[in-house]
Amino acid sequence: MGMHASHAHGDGSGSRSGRDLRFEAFFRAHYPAAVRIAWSVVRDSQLAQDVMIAVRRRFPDLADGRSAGAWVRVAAVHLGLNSLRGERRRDVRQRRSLPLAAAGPEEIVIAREEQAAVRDALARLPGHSATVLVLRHSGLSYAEVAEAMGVRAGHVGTMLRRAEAALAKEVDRGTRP
Amino acid sequence: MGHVPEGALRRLLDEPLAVPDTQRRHLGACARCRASSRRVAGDREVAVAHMARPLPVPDLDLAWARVERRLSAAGEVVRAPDPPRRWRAIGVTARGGAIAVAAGSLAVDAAAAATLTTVFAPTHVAPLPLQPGDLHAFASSLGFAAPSGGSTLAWADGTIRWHRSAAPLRTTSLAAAEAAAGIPVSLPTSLPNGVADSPSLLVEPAATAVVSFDGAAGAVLAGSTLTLSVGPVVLATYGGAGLRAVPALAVVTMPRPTATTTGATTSELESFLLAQPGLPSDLATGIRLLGNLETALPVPTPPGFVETSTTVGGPPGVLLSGQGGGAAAAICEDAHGVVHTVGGLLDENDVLGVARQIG
Repeated sequence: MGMHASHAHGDGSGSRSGRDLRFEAFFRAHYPAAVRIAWSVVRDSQLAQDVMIAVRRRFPDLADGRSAGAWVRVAAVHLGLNSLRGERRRDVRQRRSLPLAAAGPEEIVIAREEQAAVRDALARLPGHSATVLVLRHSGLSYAEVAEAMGVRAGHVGTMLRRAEAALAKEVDRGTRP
Repeated sequence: MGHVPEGALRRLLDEPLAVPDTQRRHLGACARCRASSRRVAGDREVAVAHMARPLPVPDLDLAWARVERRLSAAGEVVRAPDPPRRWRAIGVTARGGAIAVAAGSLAVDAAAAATLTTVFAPTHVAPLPLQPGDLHAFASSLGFAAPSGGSTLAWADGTIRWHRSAAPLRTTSLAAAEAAAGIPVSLPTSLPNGVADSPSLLVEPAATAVVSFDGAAGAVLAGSTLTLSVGPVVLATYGGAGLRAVPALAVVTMPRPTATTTGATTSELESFLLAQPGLPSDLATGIRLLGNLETALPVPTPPGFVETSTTVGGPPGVLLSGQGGGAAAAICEDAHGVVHTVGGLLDENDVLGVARQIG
């Protein structure tokens, strides 16, 4: 287990900057959501770590943690959908990153799950529909979905309703003999 | 007023308190809107059935160690140049860089992670009767020492460390509580007589406990680590209609707790637990009767309460009825991996009535 990391700085050694400590706190607060969202689209928790690396680059000082948190969620779903839609590119990337993908503990848990049908359906949906579906069904509240997508909370229900109706049609189409 | 828009009908299923009373009243009186609501609910069920999957339980310490190593390897402890503004370009760049910098260092992590096993991801609740003194005897049998401060607790067979992700939040806003907790919270739209509207909400952040077994735990478990993840927990308390300061009803919502180990199996952990010499025999029997410990979430039944298996909405639940008044009901909604508990100084039918609205 990599338990040492969270305690190495908790002893008052003062060897890490405030920005580093802020980022670790941000990571611990937002990484679980990024993993959940990434899993909702692709079985690839490495993607969630990529998103956290990227948010560090985009918001180096985390001056606006709320915006950064919303960004993490949308980036996770968009990256996942992008992977899903570019199957060929994804396959190539997965082959290249096989040692990384095999290393994550979440893969071991989720490797048992096959969700090919819904992934195909998601890949066929318009981007905003797939996004609202993934965000909501990975556990985000309407307020969080609204913040992440830059819409009013009152509009999320409408978007979600349309997206679920479209998903039901796609799933029905995909399973019809 | 006009008919209720489908977006509002959809939100009503998840966040009923966010929908105006006028629309809720209209829905109750309008056959056309009720038919629309059934269609909306049907499509939601399809989405839930297809989108629901076991929630991954990330090992935060391991993931953080890995990301920290990747950032260090890339020299990114100092400010990196601004990336392109489009998320797509940023993400792909990050991933490509990650592969390049992390390939050498991940072999160690791979070895550690390869043995991680999920040993607890409950799908249903099950009663666990407790006798007076059981918990004290149980703690004593495990040899717990008094907390020495900080976040580490010593016990006879190793140590327990815990980590809480943030500070608790008190609010009266459901949206704020959901945002803080990161889980959807269903609250009842219709309250029993004598219960005041407008709950107070408390969000307890997620917590992780890491149990490390040392040599005293025996050869099978020695060196193993058990990681238990609990929360975040959202507690909604409703006061009495006449005496608001006294809670009359409480609704608790939380993701199902989960546990992973670095090698030990569920049966090995169960054997270890049941072999503790001070474990009361009734409690040991109760643990055995829980069935598959990987999927059963124990609901402690305190003395003076009678437990009944019941069905709430769809998921099986446990109803606890107090002989001196008061009742509680707990269900585990497997589709979302969410555990709901309702309790209060109420009649058991009132408690079940509330549970059915949120389950």
